[in-house]
Amino acid sequence: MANAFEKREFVQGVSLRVSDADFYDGLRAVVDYRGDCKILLKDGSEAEGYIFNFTKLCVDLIPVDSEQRKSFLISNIAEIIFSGADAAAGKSWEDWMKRKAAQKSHQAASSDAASHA
Amino acid sequence: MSVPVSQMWTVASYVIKQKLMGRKRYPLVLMLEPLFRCNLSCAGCGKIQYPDHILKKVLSADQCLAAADECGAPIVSIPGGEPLLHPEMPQLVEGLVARKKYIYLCTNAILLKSKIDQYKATKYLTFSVHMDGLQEEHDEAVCRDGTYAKAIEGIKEALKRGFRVTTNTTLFDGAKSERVREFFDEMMKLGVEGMMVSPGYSYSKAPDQNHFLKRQKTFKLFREIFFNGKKSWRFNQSPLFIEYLAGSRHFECTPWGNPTYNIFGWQKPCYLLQDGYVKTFNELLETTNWDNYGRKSGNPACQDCMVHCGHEPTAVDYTFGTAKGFWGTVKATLSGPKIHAPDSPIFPFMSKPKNFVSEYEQSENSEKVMKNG
Repeated sequence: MANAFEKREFVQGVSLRVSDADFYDGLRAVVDYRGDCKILLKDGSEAEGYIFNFTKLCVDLIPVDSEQRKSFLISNIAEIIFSGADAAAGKSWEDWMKRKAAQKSHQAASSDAASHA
Repeated sequence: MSVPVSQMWTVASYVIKQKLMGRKRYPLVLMLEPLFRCNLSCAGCGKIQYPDHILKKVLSADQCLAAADECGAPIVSIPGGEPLLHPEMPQLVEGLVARKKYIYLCTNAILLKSKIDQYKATKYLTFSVHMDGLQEEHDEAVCRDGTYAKAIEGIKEALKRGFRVTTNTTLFDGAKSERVREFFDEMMKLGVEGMMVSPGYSYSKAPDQNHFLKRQKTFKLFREIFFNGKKSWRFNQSPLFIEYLAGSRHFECTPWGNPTYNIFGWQKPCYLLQDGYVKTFNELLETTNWDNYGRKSGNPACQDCMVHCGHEPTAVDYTFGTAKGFWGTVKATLSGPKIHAPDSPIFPFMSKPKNFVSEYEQSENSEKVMKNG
């Protein structure tokens, strides 16, 4: 659980409990997260999918395996797990630029080699 | 300005009607996102990073038409994702044309040539082709080589068949004004009807966070581009919006001007921010705390945003809602937008933004007050 001085990073694998002090910050992070989450309910049942919305009362989810969107009362939720991979992670502009630079230098090296052959 | 007279008339009469009806908030352009799936993965785009099962979802043509009817805006812009990947896009376009909506189908044009037989040329349909500059800049922005050439091929084919074609350009930090001017010349040579240009918005989900423009840089770049701009350049947007981008005048944001509907519902508050979803357009208008958005609100997410989806509706409202705005538009249309020299120290007056308290903090504070009596 996060203390008052540090903010948690909500990444794949992190779990958010209703009793956590940063639960509402976590909910904000849940709808910002571009991966699936798993909701564990107090009655022991669970649902997994993309959480796209929350209000003071409930959380809205599009299940992984169904077209039927579902709403869950926050009062019935025990825990939310950031279960799926974050689709927004790891594809940076810098990576693209690095690949471009490598490609250009490879092309330059190849044409140098060809002209010397 | 290159917008056809019939479209201008439709927009003008619509805005005047809203004013006469006393509607304080009315939509101008429906941003309809029928899918998020795309055949590109651009570094500046925050729209397509979703799990696979979300990317596979689409709004049906009927759902889209119902949203267009509910919203009532005279213009429908269809971004995405890549709309040409949508299996019912021709039916959707046909339905919107039947409703006399002016459609901007926003495409990267990779599939334009192969799918163009599915569409009929009409004044209501415009292919708005995503072009972020000349070949080098465009291919770099969309993170795939060869895309520029493919888009040019698509544009030529669409023009040959009599379609309306415009270009839509997003400029990021590092854009070179001379290259942008060359790009404008090139697009005019191709024969597109007009161009649209806007600074990029820093989506928190866009992989490229370091290349978005801040306000002062935006003024400088747009002054460099438009100072002594060529008469031959045609733009498919309000000339007052161009003056705003170049810091010749100031507009606040009209976040309800371009409401967004997608697979999640009506998006609060605008095309760029995702502060929740509601089921109906009326609910969007009535339950969004509009005071929390726009530069004036102090909302940190809005401070550097100058994107057209929020500020062009302000320009259009100003044009058709005030004599001064109308005269300014006429003047800018006839003699070109008023642009200060790039090194000019003149900037528009902007009131100080409010101290922003988020909705969550507001409700938390009121709960604390209630608890403490």
